[in-house]
Amino acid sequence: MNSRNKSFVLFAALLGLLARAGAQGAPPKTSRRKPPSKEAKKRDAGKDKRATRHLAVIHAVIHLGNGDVLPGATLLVENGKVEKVGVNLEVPRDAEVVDARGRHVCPGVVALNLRRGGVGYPRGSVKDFLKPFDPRIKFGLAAGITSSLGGSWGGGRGKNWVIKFTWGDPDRMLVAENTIVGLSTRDFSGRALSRTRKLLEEWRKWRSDWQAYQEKVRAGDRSARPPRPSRTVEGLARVFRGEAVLWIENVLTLSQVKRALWFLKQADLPAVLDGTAEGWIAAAELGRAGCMALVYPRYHLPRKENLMRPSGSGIRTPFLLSRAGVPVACLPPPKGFGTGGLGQGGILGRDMNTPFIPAAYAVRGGMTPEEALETVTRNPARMIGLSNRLGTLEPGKDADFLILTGPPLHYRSLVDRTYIDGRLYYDRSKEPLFKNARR
Amino acid sequence: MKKVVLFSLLLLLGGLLPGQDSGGGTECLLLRGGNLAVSPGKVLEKTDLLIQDGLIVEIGKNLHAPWDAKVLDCRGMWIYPGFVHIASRTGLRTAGNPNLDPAAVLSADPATWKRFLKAGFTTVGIMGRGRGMTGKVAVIRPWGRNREEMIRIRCAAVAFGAGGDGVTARSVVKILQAGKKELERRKKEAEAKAKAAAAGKKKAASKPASRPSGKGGKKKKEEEGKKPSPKPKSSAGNPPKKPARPAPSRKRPSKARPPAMILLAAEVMEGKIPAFVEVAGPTGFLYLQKALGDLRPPMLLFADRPPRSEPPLSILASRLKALGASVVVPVGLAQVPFERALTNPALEFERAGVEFLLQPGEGSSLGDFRLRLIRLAKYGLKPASVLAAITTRPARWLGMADRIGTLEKGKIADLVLFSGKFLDVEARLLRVLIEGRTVYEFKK
Repeated sequence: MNSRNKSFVLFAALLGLLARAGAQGAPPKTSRRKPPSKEAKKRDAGKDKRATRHLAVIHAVIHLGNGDVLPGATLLVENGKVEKVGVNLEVPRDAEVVDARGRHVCPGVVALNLRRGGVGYPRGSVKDFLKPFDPRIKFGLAAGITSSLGGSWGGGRGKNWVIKFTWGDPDRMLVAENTIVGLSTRDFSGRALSRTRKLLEEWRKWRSDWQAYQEKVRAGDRSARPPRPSRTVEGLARVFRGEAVLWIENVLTLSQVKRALWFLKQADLPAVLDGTAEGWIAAAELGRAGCMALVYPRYHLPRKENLMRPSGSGIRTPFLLSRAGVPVACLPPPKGFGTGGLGQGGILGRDMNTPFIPAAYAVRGGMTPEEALETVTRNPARMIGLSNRLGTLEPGKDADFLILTGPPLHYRSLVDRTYIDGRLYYDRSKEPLFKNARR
Repeated sequence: MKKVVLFSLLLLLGGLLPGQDSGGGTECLLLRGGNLAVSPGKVLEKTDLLIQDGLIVEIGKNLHAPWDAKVLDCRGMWIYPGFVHIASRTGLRTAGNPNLDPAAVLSADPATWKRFLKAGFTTVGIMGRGRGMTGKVAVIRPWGRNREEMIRIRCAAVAFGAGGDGVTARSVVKILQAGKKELERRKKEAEAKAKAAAAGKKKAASKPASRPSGKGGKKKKEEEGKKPSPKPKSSAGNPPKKPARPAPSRKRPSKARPPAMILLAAEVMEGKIPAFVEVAGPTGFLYLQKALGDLRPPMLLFADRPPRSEPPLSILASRLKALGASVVVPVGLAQVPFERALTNPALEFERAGVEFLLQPGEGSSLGDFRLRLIRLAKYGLKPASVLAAITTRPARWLGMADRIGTLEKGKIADLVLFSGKFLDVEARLLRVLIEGRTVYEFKK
């Protein structure tokens, strides 16, 4: 533990130095490499120029978002996807080169608290009701958010969606629809319990039918048809097939955590628990059940003196949970100052325009900076079932990244540029509202 | 007794004369020595203008006044063509719907139209607002004893509301596509008829001549069956046209007419009348553009009721330019959401080379309409383009370019008289003339 801490201190110092260098350095320059020769031009003339678009960010400190940091590295993007990340990479000839010397690059933040920003009230598919000119999108880009979950999912109903913050571009905006199936711990107690028991019964029946169907398929029976889930079980069936993620809301106290765990054990499904304040007490159980947790590091639940067991919640909650193997996403507190949503009244107004602040609190609670960065990028992406596309800068994933003036979690860092799918959507030097921002 | 008769005769004469004055069109009026803004950017100083029968008959210096002409001393005054309001909802009691015919339901209450006259409008487009097809656009003059007198054009354009989402935009485009199909069907029918006529000439018999028409009818019926009806309402029929319709249907019961909505859409696609399409901000425009695809109906975009949370449509000015579109923007400056900054969308459109029109608004906002124009001009818009945006351009889009919009020989004498230049704060509107009659006069 001690040696680990030491290495963190060293690492943080290194980051600090680099940040200084960054603050003194010039803003990132975009340049094209030498213009291609005439022969090359002739060769390329036949091809569609937009067929392959290369982008290279060079000389940057790259936070991959999976715990790795590469100083002085190059990020290569091809057609909106990360192609390669590494040191001393060869930059393709036709690449647009961004010199980010002294700057930090990290994956874009995946926000989980944009209620209705960027989307209207959809009648039918969300793709017809996008609002790419919503000012909140611009604010989100300035804060470093590149994609966000929106909509509602209570009671397994409601529409929800994941959008990217492609300002002014509705075609690239929608990533996924209805990725969340929501339940609440209120369903697991009191009068609703009998209904939940029925649901579980139905669910077990559907699953045994499904297994029978799978066995038939394996045996080569072509007449086999998959069992149709009823409306009540459909949500759980989608979770089971990996099309959606189960979220359980209203998980605050230990008894609520236990109730959620009871349901998950009965249903044999993993889930995301929203607001596991006292979850740290049952962290090991949560880890074993394969749960993930949305945590509010700034939310303080006072200890109850009359209880014999440990109680309350504070800044160490995310650290304790992640130590037990529970992936954690750090969010700003849902109540208190303004609202939990995105916008000037929400996190962007009160958090000095940065969604990294909750993660910085998690560092204060004991996490390493790299782990804490994961709580706003990689882990949220897992929680909305899009870890194959979003959250890190590993090869093959979407090139949603930020160029920052300093380390991502440092309170003085500002977002210089925001790229989504390898396209520039926000450039601080060109935004009248942000170009003179200082911290 | 004689005295009584004489007195009553005199009374009669006295009563008749003003009646002739207001009702008859033979009045002759000479505006002496005014500064005429004949068209945007062109001014004739100290020039006379002669009006006869409600038309401008002569423009020139030191015109000879006919014996019966009333002479109005306009020295020092500025005379502009009457302003044209591109689209107003005033006088409509119902919301826009596919069967809306403003000419049939318009309010003729002079109190309603007083505000328009006071602001200098002599021609007003009347358009219902809503989603999908929202009816015909009528052109009226805001003065008259009854509805019929006010109407200038019953159907100058067709109104649509494309909203700010993909579903509504597609529903609008669907109607237009149905219109295009109807055109293609007519073309086919005409070709079939021509063929049949040719065949008939060869055979010189009456029998084959009747057959192809029957065939055409069948064909049409089949096509109609396939045709998607965008809204069930459309089949309900057009109320104002009701008396005219049953007659042809009695003659040929087999030949069903397509819904009025599709007939109107066909006229738009034929290029006879334009479509006035309202979009909700830049998002609405993007969805509409996507839905339209290759379809290019003559189209005027209305961005005059922008959503508060979106930047003005002028941020897509280059796209609009590429499309060759014209836009109606609200008079006045727009605030950028979440910023204190004001932008002048009209100016940005002008810089980008996009034709824009100004929407003066309704009701009380007509009162400070000219002040907002002055503000636009102060923020960089040229006076000539301000004038064009409220006279010549709307006149052209309302299909009246040959009759109103400028001061020319032969045009309708719709005039506004100001005490100075109309973009001067201190200038005052003195008099408004519609077809040569004074309909509003400023009294101290």
